[in-house]
Amino acid sequence: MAGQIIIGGLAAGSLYALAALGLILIFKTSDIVNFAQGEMAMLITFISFTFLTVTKLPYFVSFLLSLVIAFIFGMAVERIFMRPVQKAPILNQIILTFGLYMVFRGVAGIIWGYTPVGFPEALPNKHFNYVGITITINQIFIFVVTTILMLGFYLFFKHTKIGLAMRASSQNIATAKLMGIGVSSVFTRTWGISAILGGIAGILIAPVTFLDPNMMGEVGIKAFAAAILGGFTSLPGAIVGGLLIGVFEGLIAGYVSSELKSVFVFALIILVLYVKPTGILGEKITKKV
Amino acid sequence: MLLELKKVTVSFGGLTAVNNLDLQVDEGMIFAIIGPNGAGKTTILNCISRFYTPCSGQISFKGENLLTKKTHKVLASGISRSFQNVELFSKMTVLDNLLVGLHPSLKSSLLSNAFKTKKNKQEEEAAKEIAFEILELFDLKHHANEEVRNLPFGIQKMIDIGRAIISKPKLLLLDEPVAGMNIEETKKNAELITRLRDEFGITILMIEHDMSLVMNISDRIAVMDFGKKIAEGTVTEVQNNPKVIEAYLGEVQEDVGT
Amino acid sequence: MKIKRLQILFISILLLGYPLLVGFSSYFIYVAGLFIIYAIMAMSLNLLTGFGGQISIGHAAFLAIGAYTTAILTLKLGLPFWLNLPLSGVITAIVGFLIGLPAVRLSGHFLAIATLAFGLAIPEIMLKWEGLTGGFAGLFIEKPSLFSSDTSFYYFTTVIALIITWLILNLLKGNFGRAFVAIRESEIAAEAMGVNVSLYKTLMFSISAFFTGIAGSLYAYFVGFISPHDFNMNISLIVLAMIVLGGLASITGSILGAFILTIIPQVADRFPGFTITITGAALILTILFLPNGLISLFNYKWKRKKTENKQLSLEG
Ligand SMILES: Nc1ncnc2c1ncn2[C@@H]1O[C@H](COP(=O)(O)OP(=O)(O)OP(=O)(O)O)[C@@H](O)[C@H]1O
Ligand SMILES: [Mg+2]
Repeated sequence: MAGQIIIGGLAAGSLYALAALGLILIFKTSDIVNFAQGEMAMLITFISFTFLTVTKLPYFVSFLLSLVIAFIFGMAVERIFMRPVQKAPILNQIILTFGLYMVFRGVAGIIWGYTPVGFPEALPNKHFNYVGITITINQIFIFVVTTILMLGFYLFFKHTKIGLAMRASSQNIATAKLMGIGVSSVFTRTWGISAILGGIAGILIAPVTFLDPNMMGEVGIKAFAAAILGGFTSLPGAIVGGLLIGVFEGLIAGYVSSELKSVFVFALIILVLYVKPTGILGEKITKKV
Repeated sequence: MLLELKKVTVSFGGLTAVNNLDLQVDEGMIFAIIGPNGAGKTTILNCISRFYTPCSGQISFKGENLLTKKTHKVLASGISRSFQNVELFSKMTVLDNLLVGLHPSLKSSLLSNAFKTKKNKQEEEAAKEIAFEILELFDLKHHANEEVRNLPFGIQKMIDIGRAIISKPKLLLLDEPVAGMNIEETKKNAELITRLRDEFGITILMIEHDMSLVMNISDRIAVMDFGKKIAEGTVTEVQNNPKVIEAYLGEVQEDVGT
Repeated sequence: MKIKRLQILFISILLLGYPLLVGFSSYFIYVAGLFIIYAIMAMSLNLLTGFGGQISIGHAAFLAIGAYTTAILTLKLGLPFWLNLPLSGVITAIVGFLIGLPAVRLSGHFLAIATLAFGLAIPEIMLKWEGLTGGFAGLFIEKPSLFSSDTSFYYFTTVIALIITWLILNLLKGNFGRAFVAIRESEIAAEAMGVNVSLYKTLMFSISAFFTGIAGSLYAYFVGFISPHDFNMNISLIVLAMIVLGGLASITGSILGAFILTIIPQVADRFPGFTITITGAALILTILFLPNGLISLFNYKWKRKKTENKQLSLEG
């Protein structure tokens, strides 16, 4: 049973990791935590669903189309809403992203209603058995997508100028400027890419959670948990954190109580923040006076 | 001896900001620390006011070990400070800024605050009186109810010092008290600093880049470079020290270069 | 200062006369009672967030703890009302203290995440802990015999709210309030001025939780029925929106915000999704265009008038 739980946990965890990666990218470049990340992902999933059901496009076409829209959507949110508060107090930034969270949720409810609907899986279902553990083709698909994305990101950050600038923490933005990179365009594109990551997570998780305006509530908070475990500034940390959260949640559901699995994740967040605010991979910093 | 630092070393990651520093400040002095940017001057103040903990060495004040004290206990023990980049409560009024400086001496409890007991009212009135004395001294009375953020930088610097002395400390740490001030304001502040020592008996440990101010009012000067004390003595001793001249000439040339 | 007094005096007269105005209509009294309870909660949150600078995204959890404490003490232990009300405050304050502990080490975004997790966890725990809370089915509470009618309990709630307003205003004016605002403005300077920042942060959480717990207790009695769903994330966010829309760091602003955002759901809840959309939009627009909230419009005009008067009298 444990092996089965771990496979399931790793699959879910990969998706949390993707969403967490989006959170961290934004935090690193602009010092903002995007509390609307999950809701943006939810909207993108609905858009993908509309392509699938209304315009009857094939799965992968609607998948890619909605990611294009995600990119534009993310950039638009940054330009319209976040740009004006870039220099505002942190409190205002937090409140603004919560405002977006509420509006996105509400608008989705108004347009698509609150009845959960099923969402198709990427590939026709099929499973394989290996030493008593069942793994579905869609889980494999999730692992493959995550791995490809991670590799892609790794190369992108390592070898492109804009990738380097995005990886730089906000303190190094000045350096990025010197390198001739338009900082504001880095911010904008970071939001675009983050929305894509969220969108992928949303579309791949929707078959499990069902599609409704609240679907990302829990996923979103698990992405936060993943990011926090990883220290919130480390990209590999987010991946490790995501996988850990996925497995942790699976184990709690399997051995303690499936209804309390979220509560345990919430408790884990508070605990990690309390005991080691810099995450399990983070390091100590002296506040500059 | 009022304040003594023994073999104090502070490092951040790989960087040694203060290296094996010894420093002694006697009561009634105006003691200046000078040195190029990044020499570790502010770091020393941060250690004394307990924002940083040195990785080795000792700091004692009136013979007591300072390093066992928590940051918020430092003021009550008689050490107060100003900040290099004024750390005022910018959305509070000038008066309230000063009153926060009296925080450790205001004893009325949460409940007597909430129910506004007579004792609480009296304490508040007394505190306000003290604050107005300070405002009088600094000639800032007319600004009492203005928000600090609306005032010019020079005045903010004064309020920063005012907030630091309202609790009548024994030792006052000033981090670049005249930075960003014009000649007029600098003169006024120099007078004020000497008055604080002469009339209020406050010992002053000051960091300053303005050499004419330092040379005019200091009793003793320590010179820092790259975390080390390279010289210490009276004004004339320091002025004629070849090491000091070298450190400063080096800096001047760098400045010309950039 | 004076203007705040006048505003509050005006509000209290209006509240006390209100049942007469609406002819004791039970619906209108219900809405007004809700408004007052949310106003207490909004003031408490504003004390913490607006004045103290410590964000809390999970404040409905404190309301829940206050309400459930009252319900459980009444139903399981049979404690009387005059004991339940303060006890709900105290127990919530203790939880507030515990939640304040992480706040000592966390700032800004991370405090938001921690309190968000807290706000999400509490209703789920209550849902699951059926033996104590009745789970999904909730709990029914009768009003105390002394104030058994809606109108009399409304009056009781109003009086409590006025007392709490007075207490909070006193706190803010004194040494503690100054220390809270100082922490918001600069933790470093506050610490240097001898403020025990860690202690005061937890204290802020406790005080805010205490008053919110009282509000929760009033809620339980006034509404007469509680279930975990009444205290979900949306409530936390709506109360956050109240203080932002009304005005951060303003007591009268909290009351104004509570008023507007208690009324809106009464109408908008009929159309699913509208309340949350409108509230979210109000948050966004306020932050973008009026960061000091609606109250700044009133205060601004008043101030200008006062200086105009001064000039006139100088000329005259
Ligand atoms: N909290 C910290 N973390 C990392 N490095 C620090 C920290 N505080 C100070 N430093 C470093 O320690 C060195 C000394 O800094 P310090 O502020 O003491 O210099 P200073 O002499 O006051 O300079 P200035 O005249 O520019 O104010 C600098 O290189 C600074 O970057
Ligand atoms: Mg310095």
